[in-house]
Amino acid sequence: MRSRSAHPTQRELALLAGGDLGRFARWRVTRHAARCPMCRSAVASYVQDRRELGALAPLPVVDFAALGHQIRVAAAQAGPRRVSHGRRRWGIAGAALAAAAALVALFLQVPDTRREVFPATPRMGLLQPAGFAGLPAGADAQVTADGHLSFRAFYRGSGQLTITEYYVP
Amino acid sequence: MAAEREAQERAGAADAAVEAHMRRMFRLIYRVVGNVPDAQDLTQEALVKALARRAQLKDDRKAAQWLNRIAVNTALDFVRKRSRVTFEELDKAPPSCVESPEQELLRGETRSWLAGGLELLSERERTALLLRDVEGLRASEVAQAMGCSTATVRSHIANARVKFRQYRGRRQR
Repeated sequence: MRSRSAHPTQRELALLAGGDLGRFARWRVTRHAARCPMCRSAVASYVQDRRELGALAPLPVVDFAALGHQIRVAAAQAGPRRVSHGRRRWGIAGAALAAAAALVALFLQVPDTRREVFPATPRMGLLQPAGFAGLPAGADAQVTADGHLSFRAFYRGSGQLTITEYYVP
Repeated sequence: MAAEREAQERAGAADAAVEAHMRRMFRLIYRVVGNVPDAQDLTQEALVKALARRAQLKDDRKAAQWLNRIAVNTALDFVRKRSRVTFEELDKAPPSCVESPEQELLRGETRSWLAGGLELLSERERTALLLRDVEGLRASEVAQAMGCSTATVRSHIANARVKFRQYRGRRQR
């Protein structure tokens, strides 16, 4: 049990300064600080720090109209095409996907079990089909080929995919 | 004619919604990465990612929270890969600011000093502190954006404020 004379911790004083303590803790620490000049001074210092952090608040000037346009263009180029039976694909030539899946199949053992996700070999380099153009680096891709193999990959740019998981649908 | 007008209105409303989300996501990402070019690129990346994962959003009323989380995760992933936070936009003031040269110099020095303190924090402490104390989000909103509990956010904020205080104490000696 906390003794009456025990000071709150620095973490409690810091949270009090921002109004971030829970109700009972706020009552307890506030009550103590009212009688303790040292803790009261500490809270005031934390309040001052918060006030000075406000110097970071102003945002620089940004052309949001241009940014919005870029985003719409990028979104129009990317995005999955929904296949009628429910699987998602990127807009990439089917032949290129089949070739990529065949390459993956050489390196990965596809298990007999269905509907399970397996961690993949960490890194895989693939040839760049023309359809990858426009896929932004850093994008996640879910690729399904011929209904037999699907994999999720992270597009690193320059035609390389890092496969993160594969599964049999 | 009426259908066309209705379609145009819907498109306009959708554009406005996208712009509102974009601006909010940009602000959050900017707080984490600290410079405009990276924040712009990451905002684009985050929104494209969100559009591709649209099916994950079950309740449209939670779109803002969901997008906030994608934005913050995207920014944190970037910072982790970059492994160093830079604050490059230290000297630019919003156009509405009218300052004397002395005030501008002082503000630049203040921001430089603040940046030094923030670099001492872990990325999650720094993110929680900036979203709470600079962006003004409530602790629960910070928790939603960061994908953790409110208690965890409070812990990050407490650690961050104490470390910042210690940094300030060392500088004042």
